Amino acid sequence: MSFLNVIEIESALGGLCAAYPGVTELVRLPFATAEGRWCHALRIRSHWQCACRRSAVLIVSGAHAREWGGPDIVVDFAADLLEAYAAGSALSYGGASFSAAQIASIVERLEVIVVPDLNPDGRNHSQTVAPMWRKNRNPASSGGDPDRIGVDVNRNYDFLWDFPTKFAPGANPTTVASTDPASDLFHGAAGFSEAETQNVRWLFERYPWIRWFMDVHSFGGDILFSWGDDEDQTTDPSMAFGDPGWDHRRGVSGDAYREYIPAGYLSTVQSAATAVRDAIASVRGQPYTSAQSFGLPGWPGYPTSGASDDWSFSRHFADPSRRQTFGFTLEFNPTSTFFPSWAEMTDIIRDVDAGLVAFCLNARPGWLWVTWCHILTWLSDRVWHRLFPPELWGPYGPWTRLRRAVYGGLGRSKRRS
Amino acid sequence: MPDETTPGAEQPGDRFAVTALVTPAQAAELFARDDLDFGCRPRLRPDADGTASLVILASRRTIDELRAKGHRLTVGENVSAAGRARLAEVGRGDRFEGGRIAPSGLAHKHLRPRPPGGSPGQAP
Repeated sequence: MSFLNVIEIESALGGLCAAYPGVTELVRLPFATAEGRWCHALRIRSHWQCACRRSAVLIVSGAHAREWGGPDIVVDFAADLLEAYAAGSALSYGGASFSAAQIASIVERLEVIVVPDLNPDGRNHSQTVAPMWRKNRNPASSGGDPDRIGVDVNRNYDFLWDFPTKFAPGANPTTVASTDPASDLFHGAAGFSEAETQNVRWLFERYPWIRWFMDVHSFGGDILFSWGDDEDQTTDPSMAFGDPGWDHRRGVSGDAYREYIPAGYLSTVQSAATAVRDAIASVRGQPYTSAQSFGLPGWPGYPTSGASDDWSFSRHFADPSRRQTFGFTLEFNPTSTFFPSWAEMTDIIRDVDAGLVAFCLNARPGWLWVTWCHILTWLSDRVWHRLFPPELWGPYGPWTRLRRAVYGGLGRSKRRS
Repeated sequence: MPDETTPGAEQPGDRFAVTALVTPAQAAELFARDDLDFGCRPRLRPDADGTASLVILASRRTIDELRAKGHRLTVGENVSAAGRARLAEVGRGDRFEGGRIAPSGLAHKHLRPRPPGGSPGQAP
């Protein structure tokens, strides 16, 4: 076995869709990369006929090209979930076990959407030419200089993207972002200027019931939750990313500005991150930590702008008509390398996949909602479609044909008269 | 630098995984630079004595510069060389044959006999 190349990642998704047609759908994302590649999402759920919108979990990876194992983790997670669900089996990763009922509840109560490789151009470059490559391969801002190619995909989301305005001049420049195309943190020509981020935004718009979001990166051994621009606070809603009055003040720890997060939401994201951390630890004892992505209390922060977790979490605050999404970043591998051997990577895959299963279990909607959803499905299947079977009443049934014939005849007689 | 490990031939500009033992003031000093690579995000691990370990991906030139400024560094793996070595562990071709073969996950499945008429993708 070996790390998946960019062709194999897309083939793997196609293979899963073909093998489990009843519970999967392959979705081509609409924006091609700078080198002309197309990415796919795999939707996993049961009861497609059910019209109600159950909560969805979106898991993405591969935004940073050199963080090789991410797509392998996500493909493996999808394969495990489908294999176990189809067989009605429990599954285990080392010391972490999940019952058949738990696996079934993920597929039947949730919708899981995976995009293993957001940045195939960058991954291909990293896996064939320059292993340490981080960005995508968009040459638009390079001016023809190969050292200035690419945008950091995880600084290109439209959350405080205009960091020179939104952040304090003293905010940590090695993590916020950069306006220099030669930098590994170059944030692009505009927020959402890149196909990779446009594809993620499209998924959120196409499936507005996405309620949980996980972006898999490496390395570090952390499960990170919002906010990433400044320290969290739960008391002053006026101190928030959307208020331009706080521009030039964000990103410095220990000062007056802290980012508002409702106390209930903070508790929700903390418990979800803890559930992921504990599941990972139960596999073989790996010491992952759950923490706010801005940094550790009492230490200088490392703020970010334009990051996926904060953007997904911020959408509801920017427009309350959108459902709240809880966004996370998982930094797999507690050691200090992007390139573990494949043998080491298989252990890491088991660790993180256990965490992703726990993440989905934590995200399951309540039984009341699920029961209502299933009642609707039952009514649709057993009552509505029996009283009004589609083969009689649908667009190709005799009733529609009769109606078209009558209307057609009426139209012809009108024209004659 | 006797404490480093190098999995392959070193090339100019290679970056090493360097662990710096820092105080909050030193961490702030390092974060204030715009030429350091902290990986995906900085990885700061506090110790009981009030210091913390911080991983930096640094070239030999940067390592020498940081040491000259008094930073306590432990140099680990040559990450660039590790990446080049791992190129041999990247898949060739397409093991899933364009989607004709589905991948199988690494988890241990506690399989039970499929009920008559059951098929993949159907609820158990």
